[in-house]
Amino acid sequence: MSNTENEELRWIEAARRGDRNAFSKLVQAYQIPVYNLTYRMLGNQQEAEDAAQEAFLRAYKRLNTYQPGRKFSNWILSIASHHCIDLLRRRRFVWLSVEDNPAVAWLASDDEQPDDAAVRSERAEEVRSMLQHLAPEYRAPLILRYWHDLSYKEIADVLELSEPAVKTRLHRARLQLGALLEEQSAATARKPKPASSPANATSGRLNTLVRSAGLAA
Amino acid sequence: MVEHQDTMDEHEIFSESMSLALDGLLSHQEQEAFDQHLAACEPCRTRWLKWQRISDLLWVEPFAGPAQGFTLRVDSLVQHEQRRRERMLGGLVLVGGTVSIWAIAALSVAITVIVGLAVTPGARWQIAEYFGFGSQAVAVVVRAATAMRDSLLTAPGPGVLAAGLCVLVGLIALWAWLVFRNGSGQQTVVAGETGRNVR
Repeated sequence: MSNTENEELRWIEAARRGDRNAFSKLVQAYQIPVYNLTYRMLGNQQEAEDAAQEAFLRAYKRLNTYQPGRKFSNWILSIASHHCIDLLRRRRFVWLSVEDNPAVAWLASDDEQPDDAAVRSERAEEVRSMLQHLAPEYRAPLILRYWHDLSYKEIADVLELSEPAVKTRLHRARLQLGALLEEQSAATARKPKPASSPANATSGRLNTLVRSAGLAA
Repeated sequence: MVEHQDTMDEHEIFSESMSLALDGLLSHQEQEAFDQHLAACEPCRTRWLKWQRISDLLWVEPFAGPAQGFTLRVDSLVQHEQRRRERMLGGLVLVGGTVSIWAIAALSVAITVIVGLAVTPGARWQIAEYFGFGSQAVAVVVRAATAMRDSLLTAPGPGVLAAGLCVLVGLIALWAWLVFRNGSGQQTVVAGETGRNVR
């Protein structure tokens, strides 16, 4: 067991005895992974903040159920992901038009490449929007895979699934994203090309990628 | 038609392999078969390139971080949780303590009576006499309470009695709220801070 893990266990033990400072250290260590997960799942900063806080609070209440054999990061991510999935299931259905989705609009656009900061900002927004098209069950494994770089086994541990189920969900998530991109490409092909405007000047980089894949019209 | 179906099935199989290939989970043999199929199959190659682009896009997207002060906000919630637990504990101690005291008192009386009867048989009459006085006292209290109830119901009307009951229920509810209230609603206050959330 590494020093970090030992220290983490000491914090957990102290937090179990009611030491808030020790729990704060755990929060500090895991705030970014947990917030990232809730933000990617929910797609909204305020909701993500509330969900991340709730995840930590639930973790605090359930500290006695934590088993030291399990990675604490997986345990806390498991609490956060289940909470987000519950929230998303309770949300009312919001129908998003594929043609209005900026993510795929960006992927399929023909415009010039703006500066890097603008590209990053646009990309962040568009990835967020793209994820919102996925069912929560598919969104969670995709986020854990790409952002948290978890193996299939770890994703299975976090989401309390079997490894084959994780494999299937990741596959379906990619199928859905691919289908989304195809639909948008078809929609872009149907639309007459508008005059160049700042709103349209998103990224030519991905468009080039899309065209190289033979997807753009 | 059958041939088309076979091709579709084959595409689907390779679609699953594609997902695994993106995660680097194909064995050497599977990878070879996958590469051969891609070289020969235009639709799968198109899909593969598309999935690779999406995958690249997701890999490069950085972590999102919370607004500054997140740890403090969580600490505040934890503090509220601790207080709630303490209040719960306090409530339980209060109720448990009261019940215990009454139980001990009742038990003491019972033991005294039983022991007293066993030791001094003549005490039976003394106890009977004592409870006789007691029953008279109870009767006086009951008569007083009945008179009070009647006066409330007849003189100012039943509304006063209802109001009295409402006050009583309200006081009980207030006590219960003070003892058992949880930290809900506090989250909104402490999470009010907004700012740079995405790195």
